[in-house]
Amino acid sequence: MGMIILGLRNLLRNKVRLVLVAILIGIPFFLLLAMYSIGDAMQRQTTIMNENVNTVLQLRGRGSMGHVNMVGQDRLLPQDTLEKVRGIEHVEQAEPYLLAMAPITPPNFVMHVGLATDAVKRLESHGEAGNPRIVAGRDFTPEDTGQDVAIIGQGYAEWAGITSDNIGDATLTIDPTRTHPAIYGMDRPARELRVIGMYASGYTFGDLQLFMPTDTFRSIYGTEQGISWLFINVDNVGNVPVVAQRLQETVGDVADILVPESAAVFTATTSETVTQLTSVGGILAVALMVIVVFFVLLMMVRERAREIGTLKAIGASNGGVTAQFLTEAVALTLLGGGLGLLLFRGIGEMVTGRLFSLSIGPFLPSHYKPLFESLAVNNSVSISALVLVLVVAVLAAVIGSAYGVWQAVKLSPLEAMKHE
Amino acid sequence: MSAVTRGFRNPFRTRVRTGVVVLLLAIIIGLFAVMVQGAFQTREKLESLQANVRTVVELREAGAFGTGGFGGDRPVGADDFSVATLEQIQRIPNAEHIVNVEEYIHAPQVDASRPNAYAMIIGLQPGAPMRAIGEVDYENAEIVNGRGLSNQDVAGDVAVVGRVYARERLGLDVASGEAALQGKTITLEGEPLQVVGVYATGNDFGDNHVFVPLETFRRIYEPGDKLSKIRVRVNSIANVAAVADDLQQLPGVDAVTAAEQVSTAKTTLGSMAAATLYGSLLLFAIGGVLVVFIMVLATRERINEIGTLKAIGASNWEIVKQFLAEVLAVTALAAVGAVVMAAIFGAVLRTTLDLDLSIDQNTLLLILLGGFVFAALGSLYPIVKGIRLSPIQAMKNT
Repeated sequence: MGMIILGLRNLLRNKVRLVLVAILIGIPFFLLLAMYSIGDAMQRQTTIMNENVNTVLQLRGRGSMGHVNMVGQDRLLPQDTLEKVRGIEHVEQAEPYLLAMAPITPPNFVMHVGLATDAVKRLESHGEAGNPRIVAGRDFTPEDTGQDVAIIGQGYAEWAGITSDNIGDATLTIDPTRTHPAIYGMDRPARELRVIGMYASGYTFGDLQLFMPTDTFRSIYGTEQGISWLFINVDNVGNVPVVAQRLQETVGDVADILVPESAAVFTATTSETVTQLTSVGGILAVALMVIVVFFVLLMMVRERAREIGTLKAIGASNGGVTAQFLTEAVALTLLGGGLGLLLFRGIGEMVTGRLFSLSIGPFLPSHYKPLFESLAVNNSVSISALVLVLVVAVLAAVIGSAYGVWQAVKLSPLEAMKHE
Repeated sequence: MSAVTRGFRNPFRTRVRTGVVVLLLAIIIGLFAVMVQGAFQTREKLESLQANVRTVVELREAGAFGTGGFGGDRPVGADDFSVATLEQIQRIPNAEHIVNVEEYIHAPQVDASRPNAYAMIIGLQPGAPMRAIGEVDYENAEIVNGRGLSNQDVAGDVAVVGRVYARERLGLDVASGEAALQGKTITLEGEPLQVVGVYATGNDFGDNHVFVPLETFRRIYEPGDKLSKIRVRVNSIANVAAVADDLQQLPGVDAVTAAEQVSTAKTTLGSMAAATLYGSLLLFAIGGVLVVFIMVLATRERINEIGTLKAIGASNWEIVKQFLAEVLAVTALAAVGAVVMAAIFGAVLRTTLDLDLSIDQNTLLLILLGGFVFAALGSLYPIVKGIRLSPIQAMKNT
């Protein structure tokens, strides 16, 4: 017990050495925590990207654009496709849409889209551009389901003489009998819809659409069954190929399946490599910490062989000497670890925040600068990870120290005292 | 013996201590070399993601339907969207970020007697990606029989047809191989073109087109300067929104991107790039600090040696030279060890994780040079301290 207390007191005997060694142990510990934190931030960003980019697939009736009134292009997906698709593993969401074309002057056409009131408002033939901004009136609410209401694009509104001032009161007549070289007339009565909102997409064709609730669309065009487009969100970009394969097996006989497959595979494999590289950084940081702790303690003990000789000369047992030095090693490592944690807690946040953008920002292309705010390198570390790292570090310290002590205690006190 | 020679010989005087220091430095420098190489590779991967994910902006006549002309419509941008647009694209404020521009022109071919009534004839520069309409923009059609269009086909009377078009309109059996294409022609506006290849997207609608060289298309259909679609590839996802905004200002143009996905890809990839940069700088700084402190720890015990040297008449400059030569010798030994260590770590990662982290020349030079500079810096503290003391004080110092 006395030797253990001596070991603890010894720490304070040579303050310069204590600080040096504590810093040497603390720095790799800080690096390890920082790498862990960076890895965590990278993982979060990769997850967001993998869940949101290149994960949307589209189904249409086989060989068809799926517009209910387009000449030769009016084959729809069977209604049961929806349930089949929703039953496939990794399909997170499946949103059905109905589409019809309507002629306007000068000769062009607009799109009428039926959708669930909470669905993404998709623009375009391939529907990837979505959720345009509401610029007047309001968006759909669940109460609008089955009601004769619509949200109109600002280009279509201009053609129809609807302005942002009369949104909510204005009406638009949908007449399915009207034709165009690419549109055939349907023998259905006209219907008046109240325009409750106006949106802007940022480009001309995007502003030539009219959104209405699915049931309203079905009753106007008499389309009791069928789906024009079915948009599918896959849970992760890595699962896109397997979902595409399952779709082909399940509904391939009735559907064209539009898959961003090569882009998805590229995104998935490249981001996987990035994640792997980041975790390697963490593993190497652990290795670095172990090696530094081991060698620093080994060096420290070796340089104190003379002290070991003196201790032995005044009657200390080998066990006592070993206990003293191991106590010192454990205390030093805990001190170094604590220092690393303090550094990380104190400086880590500063570095990842304001100081980070101020110090590195000026050397980066301008387009990176706004991203510093979104780069939240997390400086909270789980207790279990911390304990594990400390245990590993203490083990390395004990082994390094024990090896040095073992070599010194093998010598006679005289030899040890002569040892340089 | 000169101070420099003494400096070079000194590390071999106390072999065990030198061995421990060299081994420690070698492992640390080797480890950092692998980590920095990893950070460089991460950056490369991120750059390839930034350059390839969602970087295509589709342009078409303002007000035109996405598939690009099914006949009978005249969108508001019909007159302005032309070959002149290609020149205007090169003059936008963010033109420097444009990698390439591909032009396409479409003409519908409607045959109500066919199950797939609407086919599309598409003119493109030979060698440009064959992008089927109604398909995802950046997914290219694959040749399943014969060949694609190449530079030798400029203005040539050749065509590549889709799988469905080949089957339904030309009676071609794709499964019977290239022999089926021998002497096969397609007639467009009375002009026969040789079918040199068949492509497939996997979908019937997308496989119902005919791709012909742009000049051939212009000769047959005489559309003048008109274009149907232009696709602009941007160098990085970070610049897509800015380029798309510029393009949207051009007369008669609709510039279409999947804005939400572009925004997500931009933010996530940009954040990862910034995190990687942060990691690289941190690695370099921490590696440097570690080397500095190891050298301080290794040389501070030798302040008394400096006193002895001063007592026997060595000048301050000679002492500095001797210790710097010693640092150089130790770093050189550590460098050799670091190369070996980096190779070992690299091999372990290759076998266990299938990651190739071979150190390239630049990384090695950077790390070794950094190692020497930081080691010299670390030795400076004890040297300066020793020099400033009187010989007696320095010899008493431990």
